[in-house]
Amino acid sequence: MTTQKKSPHMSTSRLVSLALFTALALIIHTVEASLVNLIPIPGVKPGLANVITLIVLMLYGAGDAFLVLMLRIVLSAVFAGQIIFLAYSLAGGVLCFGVMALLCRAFRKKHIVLTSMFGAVFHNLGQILVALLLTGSTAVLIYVPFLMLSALVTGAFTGMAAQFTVRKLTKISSNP
Amino acid sequence: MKLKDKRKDEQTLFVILTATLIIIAIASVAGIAHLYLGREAGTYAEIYRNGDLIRTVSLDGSEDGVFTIYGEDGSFNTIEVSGGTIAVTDASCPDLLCVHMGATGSAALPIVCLPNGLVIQVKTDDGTGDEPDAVSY
Repeated sequence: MTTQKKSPHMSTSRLVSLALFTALALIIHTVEASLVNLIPIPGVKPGLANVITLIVLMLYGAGDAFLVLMLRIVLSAVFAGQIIFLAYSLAGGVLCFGVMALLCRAFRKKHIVLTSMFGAVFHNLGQILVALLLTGSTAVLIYVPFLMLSALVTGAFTGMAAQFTVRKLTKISSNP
Repeated sequence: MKLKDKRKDEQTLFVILTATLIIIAIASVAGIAHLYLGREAGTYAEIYRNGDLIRTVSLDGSEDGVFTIYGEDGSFNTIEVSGGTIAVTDASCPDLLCVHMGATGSAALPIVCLPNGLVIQVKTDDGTGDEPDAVSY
């Protein structure tokens, strides 16, 4: 898809694709938020919407992925109805994205699983930082080992899901 | 030659990052194990809201009962103290994680309600369950 950059239809196709990816991420995020948490520890969640961020990062580049991520975070805060979640999502999302964009460049789009795992680790670190600021209590630091472990597991899973999808999508787009 | 160097750099980075993740995993497991092995029954609970200590409840049975803490924005957490444990039984937050965390009587894990900025930290009289334990990770 990145090879089509010179095509005159690019902007429309890109606009529609990115809009669809944003909608997908929003649906995944909303469904995930409405599921009951199996592990009753704040911040431990699958984070499946990150699959979309990873896919857009790999197929369209960092700028477009950032756009989709920001739209998803702001819109999902509107759907969740609590503005306080915006602080957690933004801190986690931006840190996670920054690390993933750097690793995506360093690895030239290889090692998606490792990239995703590091993104998840930094996402949870960002959320812990916000929790520290908002609750003003170091008691939340006790959750760091739980959040790191959950980041490794969920990061590996979302990374594999993204890798699988990216492989299929590049196959489709290379045989028009 | 240049491409070869680049590939080698990539490989080095990959090994370093993988090693970092493995260290994080081991440290987390060790931290959680330490937390669960070292826990003991607490004697009182401190309730914080947005960082301010707003109430201290004894867990020895003398203060058993149900009370509700309200925030300025209309949010609330209903807290039940009974049989040496403390629990959040109802709350205004949408995810109700604090309720799902159940009752705790141990100083190991605090009950946290992030949307309402509420932290319930169980403590023992000899000071364990206090901050140093949390900072060591």
